[in-house]
Amino acid sequence: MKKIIIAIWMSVFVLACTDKPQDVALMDEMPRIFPDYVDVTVPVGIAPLNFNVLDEKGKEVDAVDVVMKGSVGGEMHVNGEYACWNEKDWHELLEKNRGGKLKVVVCAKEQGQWKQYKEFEMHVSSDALEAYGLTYRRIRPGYEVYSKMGIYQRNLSNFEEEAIIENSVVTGMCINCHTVNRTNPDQTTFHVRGMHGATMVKSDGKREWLKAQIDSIKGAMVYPYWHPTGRYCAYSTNKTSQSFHAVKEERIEVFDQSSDVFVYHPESKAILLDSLLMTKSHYETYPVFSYDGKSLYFCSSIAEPIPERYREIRYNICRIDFDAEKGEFGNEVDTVFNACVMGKSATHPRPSYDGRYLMFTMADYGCFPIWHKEADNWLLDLKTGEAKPMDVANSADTDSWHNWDSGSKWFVFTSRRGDGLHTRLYLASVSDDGKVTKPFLLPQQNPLKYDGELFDSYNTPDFISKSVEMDYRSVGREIYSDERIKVGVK
Amino acid sequence: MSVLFGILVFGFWRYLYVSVLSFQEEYQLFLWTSDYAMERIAVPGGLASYVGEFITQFNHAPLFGAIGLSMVFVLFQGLTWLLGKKNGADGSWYLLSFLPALALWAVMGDENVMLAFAVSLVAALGMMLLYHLTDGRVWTKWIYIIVGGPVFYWLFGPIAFLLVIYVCFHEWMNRRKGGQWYLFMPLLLVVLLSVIGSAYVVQYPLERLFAGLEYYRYPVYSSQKLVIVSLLTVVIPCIYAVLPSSSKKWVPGLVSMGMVLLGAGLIRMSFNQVKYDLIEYDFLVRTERWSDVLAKAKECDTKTPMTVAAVNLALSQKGLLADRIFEYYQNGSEGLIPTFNRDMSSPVMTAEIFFKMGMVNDAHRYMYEAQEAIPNYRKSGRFSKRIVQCEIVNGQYEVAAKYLRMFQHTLFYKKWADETLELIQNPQSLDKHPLYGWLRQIRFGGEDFLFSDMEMDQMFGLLFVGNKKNRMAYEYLICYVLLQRDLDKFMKYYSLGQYVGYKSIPRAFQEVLIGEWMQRNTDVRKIPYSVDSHVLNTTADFVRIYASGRDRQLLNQPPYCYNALHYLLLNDLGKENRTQNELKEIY
Repeated sequence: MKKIIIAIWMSVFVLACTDKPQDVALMDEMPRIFPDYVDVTVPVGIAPLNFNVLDEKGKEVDAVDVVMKGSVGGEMHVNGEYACWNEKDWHELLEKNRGGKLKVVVCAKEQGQWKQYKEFEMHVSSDALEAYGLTYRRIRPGYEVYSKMGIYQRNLSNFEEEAIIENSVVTGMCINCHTVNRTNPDQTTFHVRGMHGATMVKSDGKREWLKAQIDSIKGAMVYPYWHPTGRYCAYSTNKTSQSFHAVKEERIEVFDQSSDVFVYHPESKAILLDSLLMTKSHYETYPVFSYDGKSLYFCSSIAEPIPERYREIRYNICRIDFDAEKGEFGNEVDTVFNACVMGKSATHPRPSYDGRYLMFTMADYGCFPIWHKEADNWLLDLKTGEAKPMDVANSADTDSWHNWDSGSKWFVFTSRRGDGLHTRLYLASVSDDGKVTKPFLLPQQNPLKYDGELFDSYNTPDFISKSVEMDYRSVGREIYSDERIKVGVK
Repeated sequence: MSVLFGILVFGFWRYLYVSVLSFQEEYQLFLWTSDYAMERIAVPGGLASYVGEFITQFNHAPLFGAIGLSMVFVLFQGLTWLLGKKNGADGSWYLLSFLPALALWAVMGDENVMLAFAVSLVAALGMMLLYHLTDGRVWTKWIYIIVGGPVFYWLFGPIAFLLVIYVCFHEWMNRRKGGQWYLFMPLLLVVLLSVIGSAYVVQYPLERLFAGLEYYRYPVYSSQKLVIVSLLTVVIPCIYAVLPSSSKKWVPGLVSMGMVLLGAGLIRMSFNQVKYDLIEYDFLVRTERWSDVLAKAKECDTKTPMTVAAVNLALSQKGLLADRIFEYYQNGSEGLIPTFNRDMSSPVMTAEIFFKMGMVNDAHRYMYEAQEAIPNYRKSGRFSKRIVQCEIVNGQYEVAAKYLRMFQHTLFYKKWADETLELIQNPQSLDKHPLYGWLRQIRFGGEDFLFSDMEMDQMFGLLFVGNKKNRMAYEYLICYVLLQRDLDKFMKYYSLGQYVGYKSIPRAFQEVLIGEWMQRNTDVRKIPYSVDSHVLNTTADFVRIYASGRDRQLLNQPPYCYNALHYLLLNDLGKENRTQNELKEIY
């Protein structure tokens, strides 16, 4: 209903806005557009990159007249309050100009005067985006208490967003860490916290609700990652607390007072433990399987006393062999990336699905870079062992949680670069030679309005190859039922 | 009579319970945008909520808020009577039409009953009246059932079940004139299917949809009180059809009067004084009426952490904390800084204290937490405003601007938002601003550290050392250790007071110093501190009576009971803790 009303309004609006440029003044400067789509690289199939034009004071201009021309061919023209492209025309233009450029000429009416700004370009990647859409959690960037939240899916070829599940389904519940297997939502897991806590594991079309606390490890299942075969899912178990900074620059500090890594085997409903992943001298967390499933990467830090030495906690990225046939771990742990020697902490490792890269987040210290302004995303080339920050994609503010598209060319990440608090989703690509393209903000129908009125942050984004089908009513009933599977040890 | 009723309702809210108007307005932020309206109407009962919030926003100006509420009540009563008349009501039973409105008034003594509930009842009465227009035209009845039922449910919630009762009654009464009593069945089916169907549109459990999403602030599945008022709303107009038109006019008058008096009694009983004291303290702190806080505290004992904290904050803002803290009930350090609870009310007082003291990050956090804890997912104008102020102090102008642009869509915060947006365009000017400039001077600076509620005294100390003009931080530091009966820390920190610029040592501190001196020395005249002779004599008397062990009951009377030593030596902490536990529910 809401969409229909919006569509009617939009039609009325478009018909009403036929203000054509007259007496245009040529400006020797680039237009101030929101979001910053100048020189970004976009995949074919992405939703239209609508944008708003701002005047010198940062206010939206009275009207815009924008022409977009493809380097191969095709042209679009839009006239209105902001640059709002026709979806069908947009997709055709991108398809036609795959691997080419889009040249954009912006005319803006400011205080009655039309101004034409310098032309800018967008690049159309020849690398395909394979995903259907994204999943993410939306929640206000608060502290301990949460209001309405939910896990949502967004179709990447248009602006449709749909709630997969919201916490209103079960009063007082918190949901997090929705994780699918290599973008395939047929295998998924997420956590429910609160009175009816559980870990949901969906595999082979069946939902299972595991006890929130596993007796054998005396902890909950946290930070999941699926084995490529779907036969296993790695989790960490973390005793996490948070504290609050007193001085203005910082807000929240999240730290683990203990953490270990283990692997869950859905078929036997049992976990695989290994002493190398459960040391007392180290905190092990953020487990992820390699592209071929033969290794398990995880982060490891010396177990400094918490909270006294929370600033001394620094994680390296490590690796251990994993034999999926036998369900056994190797006998030794390798350090894949030593962040400690750089005085940094490397977390959130995510291997590309083609085995070429490992993307991770680097911060000054700690296990939770989401609240660290200095946090940046890095790329480790697993062939050469070379690691470097993705400068083009990073910003002066927090850049963190990321995931790969199944084609391993595109990635999504969260960033607070907008207003310094509310995280937004950005997409960028990595070329075969390791070049990272300038990221673009997840397209929205009216970006300025959307960004200005949305007080939520985006968490844990991931690509999905198809729409997530989840009957929230039955999920709600299952959560309420408190029927939980007790997990054993294999 | 209706006008008199309206005046009574108006006076009740405007003068007796004006703090409740503020409370209700505090837990919502009505925006004049189509998106806000759409967001409300996107759930069953959303229009009722939208109208309720529309009216409640006027509580910001209590005169208009009270007028709005009285109009709802008068309309409710008027429609009840009108419907009664449609059912053949005799004028002598007029008073009875006030009963549902009185019951509604009583039920609204529960501060979590939303105005949306009242709006829904009014709408239901209107819808019942509408049904009379369908008489004699069967096809209109079917339109009423098939279209009206679901639409009404979506707009006003499960109060739509009242229509089923009314249709059943109306058709039964008209059975000899062609009434089809069974018509209630399709309507019941339609409303039932609407409720069940809505579970496929919105992500709420079915139980909550049946109970109504918008009638009660908390997600409870049933509230007998609401059901009773709902039933009265439909039963009273129906009863008129069967009430006799007595030849003795005084009979219905007497019966009605009795019921009205019963309703009035219910209203009296339904307003829990302790709870409303809390609400009033919150209101007085919000409006910074510090003298009224102290006057109220003198009137009645305040024993919950939140109210004691309000009194201490008021004392501090009046510059009286260090002198007169022990003239008021104290319940330990909880009364200075109440422990954090995950609810929508208790963090607010602590946030106000932190904010005024310069603990900006913590004020922000507590306000944010209170806002997130609002159980019906609403946002608060008051809390968001404080959040914006914290963001501005911390230089987070982009975030502040985002909130301010939202505030521009409100009626009562718009002016402030416009001014503040202009203010942050020129950040340099903020350093000279009386609020932001001062807070920037006194907030934590230098090396970062993590908040610890176990080390409040150290944080107050750091705050004061950071800026010695921050008298509040010093007084909270000293009072905090005194309330913890930690005399070692008192003696350690006390001397920092030399930087505050007191003309004389505050009275409470004098009393402690005298007591401490007398513990170790026999000659009180040799005390090395500059103390007032009256305080010296009173405290020395206190110590003598206490030491002698005789006439100790004297110590529980003024002036001794106001002496710091009374708190330090005689207060029963165990009893305080029990009291706190007993009051935990409302706290």
